[in-house]
Amino acid sequence: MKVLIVDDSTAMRMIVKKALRQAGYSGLDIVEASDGNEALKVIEESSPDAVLCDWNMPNMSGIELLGNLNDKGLSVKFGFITTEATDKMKQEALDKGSAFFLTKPFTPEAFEEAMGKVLS
Amino acid sequence: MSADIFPPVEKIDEFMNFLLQRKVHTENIDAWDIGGSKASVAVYKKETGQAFAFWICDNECSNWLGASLSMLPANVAENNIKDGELPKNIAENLHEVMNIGANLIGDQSHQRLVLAKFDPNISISQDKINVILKNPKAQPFYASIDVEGYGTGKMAMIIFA
Repeated sequence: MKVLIVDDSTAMRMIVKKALRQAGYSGLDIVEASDGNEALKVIEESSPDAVLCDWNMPNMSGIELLGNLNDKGLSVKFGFITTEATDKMKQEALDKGSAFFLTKPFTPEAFEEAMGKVLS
Repeated sequence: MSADIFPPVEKIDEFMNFLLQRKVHTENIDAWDIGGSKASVAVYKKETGQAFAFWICDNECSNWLGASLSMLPANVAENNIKDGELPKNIAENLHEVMNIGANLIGDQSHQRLVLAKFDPNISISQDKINVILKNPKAQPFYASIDVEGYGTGKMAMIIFA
């Protein structure tokens, strides 16, 4: 299974990768992108099974990426792992098809529950 | 004065353990001289745009937290501390820690906060700090943070409550 982690922070991508390993997802093919533009290119070229995405990023935000995927008819399991989290943001994410909205810092339990929605 | 607006040290440890993936020990300490050396400052605002909190880390704390986030060797951070520096890559990591820190501070005080400003490794005059602290709403909290395998630094939070 191929998973795309999208975050402009290298350290945060590393933390998500480590959290995936700790949650027992050890055999994943993990690819990374540092903003929505880069992620869109990766999705178009290599069709990951799931995308774990930050919200606030330069060039193209996470929600803009999700909107672009919908506009282009690209179907991929998608979830947000982000710092900022208002009710409005959560609702917008869910309305656009995000499977979960996880706020940093997250507990191992919350992370596992969220991953179950896109990696099962 | 209500001390419970500040995250308990155990909660700070838990937060840091999550981010840094290593043991962190935080302890309350007496007020330290923020203006005495360079420090990194995060300013958090409420959704209304009103400033709510400052999180200040001295140069040691900034280097230990920033370096350990991406597992940079401790001796790299140690050399930075000797030179009073905070390189860009470590400052970016600290920015990430302080950005997520909006939730640490906000959850405790039941406020939705955003990181509005981040100034890495700047000189702040103690006079300026004293002016901030003279605000009747300003409540300070001082702590030491020990990052396993790295070292100990000092931090302060000032919350306007």
